Amino acid sequence: MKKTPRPRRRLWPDFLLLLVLAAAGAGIALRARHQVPYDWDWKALAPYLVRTEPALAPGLLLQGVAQTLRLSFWGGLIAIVLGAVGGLCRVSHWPYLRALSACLIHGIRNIPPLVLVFLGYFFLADQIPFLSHLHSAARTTTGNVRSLLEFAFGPVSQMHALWSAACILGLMEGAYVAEIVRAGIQSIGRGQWDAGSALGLSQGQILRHVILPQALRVMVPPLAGQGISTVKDSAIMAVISIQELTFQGMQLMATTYRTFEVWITVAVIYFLLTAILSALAQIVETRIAQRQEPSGTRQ
Amino acid sequence: MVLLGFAAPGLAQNTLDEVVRRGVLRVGFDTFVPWAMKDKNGEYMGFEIDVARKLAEDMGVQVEFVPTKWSGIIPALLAGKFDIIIGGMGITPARNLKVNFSAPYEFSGMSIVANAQTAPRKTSIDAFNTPETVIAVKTGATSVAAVQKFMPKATMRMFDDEAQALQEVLTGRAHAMVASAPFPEHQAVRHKDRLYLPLAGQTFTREPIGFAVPKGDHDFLNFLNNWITIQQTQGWLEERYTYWFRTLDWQSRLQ
Repeated sequence: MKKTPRPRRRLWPDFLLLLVLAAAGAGIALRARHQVPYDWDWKALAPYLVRTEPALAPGLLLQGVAQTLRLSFWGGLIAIVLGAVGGLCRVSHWPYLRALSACLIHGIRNIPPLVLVFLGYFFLADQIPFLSHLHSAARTTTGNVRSLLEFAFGPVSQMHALWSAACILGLMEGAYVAEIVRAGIQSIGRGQWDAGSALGLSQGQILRHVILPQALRVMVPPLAGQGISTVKDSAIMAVISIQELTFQGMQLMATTYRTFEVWITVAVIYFLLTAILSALAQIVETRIAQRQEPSGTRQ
Repeated sequence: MVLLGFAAPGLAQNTLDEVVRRGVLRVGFDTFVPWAMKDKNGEYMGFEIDVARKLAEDMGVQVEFVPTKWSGIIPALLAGKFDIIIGGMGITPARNLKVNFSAPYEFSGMSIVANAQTAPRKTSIDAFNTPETVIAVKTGATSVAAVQKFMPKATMRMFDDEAQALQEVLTGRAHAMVASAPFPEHQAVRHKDRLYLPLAGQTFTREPIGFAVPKGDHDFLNFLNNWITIQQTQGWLEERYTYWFRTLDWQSRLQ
């Protein structure tokens, strides 16, 4: 066999390409620097990240990060629950359930997220009186209960808004999770169902003990991706004045007029958040891959 | 709007009673220097913030600030996201069709700031009234109407907030920007080499500023109007206005 690929010969076009791209990037940056009159002032942003007086405390942007994380966490949780239920309905034996869930899921997936957010904010959120009552109750809490509530949902004054936003986000992402769950279940061969019923298991038992443990392995990578998407998608809630990272960034721009510094900082923070989540997802996926085959299906 | 009315049918309620029962007055506003902004400690400050705090104090309740994007602030008020807009909102017939306004508690005006390179040496509003002039404004603000009235031939470009509109003028993509005073004046000071004030610091409109509340609640309106009368006769409003608009003492609290 004379198959001796020489890496040098194969690599130099790549290096050249990289060099050209880097030169082009530098050129654009230089051009922008000359043509756009803008005084950079990164120091002005520091107190909005971390405050040092009167005491050490998170600044405006970090408070926004906390709200983004809360929003993503609760939105993601709602999405998982709705998605699991929706996905199971999509593969149900009852045509009624299949049709209903398909309608809802396709409805949500085919409306632009921005439109969904406005619809949810102006119509849905106030139609859930339960949330208003809960908010009134939250206002009256004191001491440890209040601290716990504020840790989970942020400042009391913003709780109602956060809950509504989490519901809308959960609904939006839930539609995608449902399709992941459906695809995961349908990826398991017909033979597994047949084998299950041959053993005398009921439909529910087959689903729980045979299908789902295998399907979960298929579902984890896309689910992790959807989780990361949730963090990014939460930025859209800025339009309904949820005080998350993007909104705080926009407020900060209105005060300091440091447009470029603020947007770049916000972008870097989002990148860090999603990079950390990606790394976590990678670890989980490797763990699951290591625990290969013979688990779960032993029934 | 029709649908909004449908979604919030219980508008004819008594906000005053509800606020006192809740113990919290929820105030909607948007960040706009020096009306409302966050200081370096993360606390809200500004002329409207002082007004809202004083109003809540006189009602014997806590104040809760709900920062809201300006373009959606009236729908948010009608949807019951807060009780009142205290945000330097100019009273206009178009807005008044949708919300009730209190008597004016302050007056504001529009001024213009222009790029010294691309639109040099202009001294009147008429000089900007040409088709090749690009004027940047904030979406949903009264500056839009002012530009349409005073510079109908100019090309108007709308942005979500003042910072973006200003950036357009700084980069030269827009020739000038129209906004409520004292924003243009502050910017001309900050960017002396690039911007200038064609009207030398004068405003070319005069607009009444009022509290906006949902329609149908006249008790609340009566309370607000009388509160304004009291504060005007005691000179408190004038004193606060001078502090925020005629001095720059507050800037040390910002950075």
